[in-house]
Amino acid sequence: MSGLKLTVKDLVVSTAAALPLIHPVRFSLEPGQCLVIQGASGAGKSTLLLAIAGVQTPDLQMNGEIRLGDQCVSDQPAYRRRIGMLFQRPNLFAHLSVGQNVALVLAKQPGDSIERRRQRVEKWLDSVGLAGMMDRDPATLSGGQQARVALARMLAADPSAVLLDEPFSALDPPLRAATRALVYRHLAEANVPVVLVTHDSGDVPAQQFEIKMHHMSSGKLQVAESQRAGH
Amino acid sequence: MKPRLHAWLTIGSYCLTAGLGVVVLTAVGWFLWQGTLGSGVLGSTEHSSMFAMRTFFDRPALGRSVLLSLWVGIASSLMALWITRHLLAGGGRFGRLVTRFLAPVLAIPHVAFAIGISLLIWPGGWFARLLSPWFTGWQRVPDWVIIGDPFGLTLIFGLVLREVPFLVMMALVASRGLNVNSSMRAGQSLGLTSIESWHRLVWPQLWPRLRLPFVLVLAYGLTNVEMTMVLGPNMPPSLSVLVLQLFYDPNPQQFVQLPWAALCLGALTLAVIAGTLAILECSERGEARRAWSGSWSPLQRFFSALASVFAQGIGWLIFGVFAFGLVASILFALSRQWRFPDAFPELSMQTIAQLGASLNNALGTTLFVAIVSAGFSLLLLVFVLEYLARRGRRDWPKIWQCGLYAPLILPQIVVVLSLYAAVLPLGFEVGTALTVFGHSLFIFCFSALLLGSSWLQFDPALIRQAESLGLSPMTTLTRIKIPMLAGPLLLTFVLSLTVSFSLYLPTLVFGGGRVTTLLTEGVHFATNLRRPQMAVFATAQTLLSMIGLAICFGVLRLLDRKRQGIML
Repeated sequence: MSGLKLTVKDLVVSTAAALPLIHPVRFSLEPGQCLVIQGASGAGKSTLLLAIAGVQTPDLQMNGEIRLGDQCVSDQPAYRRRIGMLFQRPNLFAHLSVGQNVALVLAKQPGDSIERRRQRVEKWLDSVGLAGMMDRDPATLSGGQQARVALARMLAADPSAVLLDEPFSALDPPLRAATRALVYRHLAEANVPVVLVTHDSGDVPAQQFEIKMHHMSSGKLQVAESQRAGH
Repeated sequence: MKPRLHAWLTIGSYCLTAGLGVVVLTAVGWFLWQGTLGSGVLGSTEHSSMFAMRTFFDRPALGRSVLLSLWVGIASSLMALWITRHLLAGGGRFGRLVTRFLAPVLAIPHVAFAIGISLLIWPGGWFARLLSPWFTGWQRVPDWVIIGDPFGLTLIFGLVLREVPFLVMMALVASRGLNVNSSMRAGQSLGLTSIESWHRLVWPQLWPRLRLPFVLVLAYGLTNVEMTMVLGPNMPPSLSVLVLQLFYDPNPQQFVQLPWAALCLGALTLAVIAGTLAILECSERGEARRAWSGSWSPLQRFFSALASVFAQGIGWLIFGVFAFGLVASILFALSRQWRFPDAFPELSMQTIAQLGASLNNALGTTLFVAIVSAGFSLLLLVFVLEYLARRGRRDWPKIWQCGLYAPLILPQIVVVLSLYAAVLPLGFEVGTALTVFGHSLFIFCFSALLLGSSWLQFDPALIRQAESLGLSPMTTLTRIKIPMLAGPLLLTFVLSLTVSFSLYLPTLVFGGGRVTTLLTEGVHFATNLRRPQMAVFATAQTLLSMIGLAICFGVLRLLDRKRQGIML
């Protein structure tokens, strides 16, 4: 897995009636950098992430340029962009076992067999501390375990950039710290650019990434005061 | 999907709605024209439309036919609605058990259910035989008119028992989008009883979603033909049966009255639906105003609890009638000689053996028409729903709803005869292909009602998640959405099959009498009072539906168990 530089240039999101929700946004992130976006509810943080990921938002219109490395991905559908995303909810597919949730996104390899795919899945699950849980029903897992499956699944999809939309906010404080550490360790190892939306300053991965603090208000993204002050 | 495709589909829906109206008007016009000019088919000015109108409205028993249709339709649908409301309000383990038992009843075709009832409660039926002579003292079949009574009471009884399961299921489907449990908890924490909480907090939210299923029940009660032919009076018949009789009447003076009868039935249905809905709406508003009067009095609470117990009793009665009706059908089907008042017949396969070839033929045709039309309709429906879902729709667009529900709300006999009159001049010939077309039309509309909300309200977060994981729309559809909606899809398919088993008029008219199914044979023998034969066809229909439902649940369970290893 290797990250690519994520560049967002003049990204504007508006409703079908041309009412702007996100005003022109510009930033660029190298692998190993993390853009932290804070702001009140309804400021447009999640909408911005959905626009960058390119996932279905039929009522919204998007303009601007998104580049991954040298490639412009703005016109590509979400599934071709290779931008991974973790949501507040783990969104595990309930009709699949834990292992199948991960296997679903594994790229096909020459000479692939069921046994080899199971081994690859087991490796991913092992890396997030869920060895031996491949055949479990996702509904039987705790919230923290589900979050770890979601992480393994996202990493297995081999993204070149990662967007985090308050992925720890539904977890209890002790679990939150442990899950946070695990997620940041893996993302740092993957060396990908990360955009993090959070309300909690404790979520900022200051040790693993070079941080850029931004604040969003009424659809406008601005450099945060703390960043300006050189913190 | 591309905007151009959306434009075409929108135009298609407009065309469907407008087309249906045009088809009805054209057909009525065609019949009127035939009558007015008196040339062509009918040949004489005596058959002019004015003459036909006068003859029709001068029919001596027309008033009674209209009154019968009105009485049966309104009484049966209001009673079914009342029972559904109080049955669901009862809740508790007992109530949940009843609703679970009602599910298979829904799969039983109307006619098979009606034949089961008639074999059970007819004076010489199984119920009377079980109680005779030790309880009733009857040594001979009493001369009572129970089936086909002049007031249509047995027909109302049958319709109520058949429509309550439908309304219960529709209410359960509709309540998925409502937070029923939290409303109930909130009500109880404010000092309301659970029944009072249900009536005052849940029902007002549920009713707007149940309005359409209720309209369907009302329209069916007013206009059905097949249950009326089995259970209802025929001297005079209801208005819908009169329309069918006019259609098949070889006398031109009778035939030219058909468009007036169809217009009368259509106008009556729309007027009754509008009137009943207006009254119910006023009643709901009245209840909303009474919300200001504070909590219920102890007397009100007592009577609503009593009503719930009564409704749950009706729920068990429905299941009992279904189960005993099925046993009665099987016994009559297997009876060689069954003298009254013997409780059980001398069993033999004689009737089934005699019917062998026609039974096999009818079974094959029934399955063929049902599977092809249900499969085609479901494929088309999934395509349309997925298209709407990708455009962010969470419900059917209003204009589409009109197109989808019109064939279910308008009298089936009027829709079928109009389509018949519209397609015949285009060179289509009656037969199996046209029957499949007719079935597909009704099944598509019915399954849209059943599957629409599950499909369109599928959690969009899961779709976003799949996209962000790099899954293409087709992979998301085939490996996430369809497997997760396998339950509703399979259930819709199986219920579509049972709808096809129940479609009498499309089979009769589009088949031109040449397509014989279990249903048409069952009705044929029922109207001729040949009980062992009608029992054979009713049993076959019921068993076919039950087998379909059992396979559906079996496959679902199997899918659940086989989950491991499917995709790795």
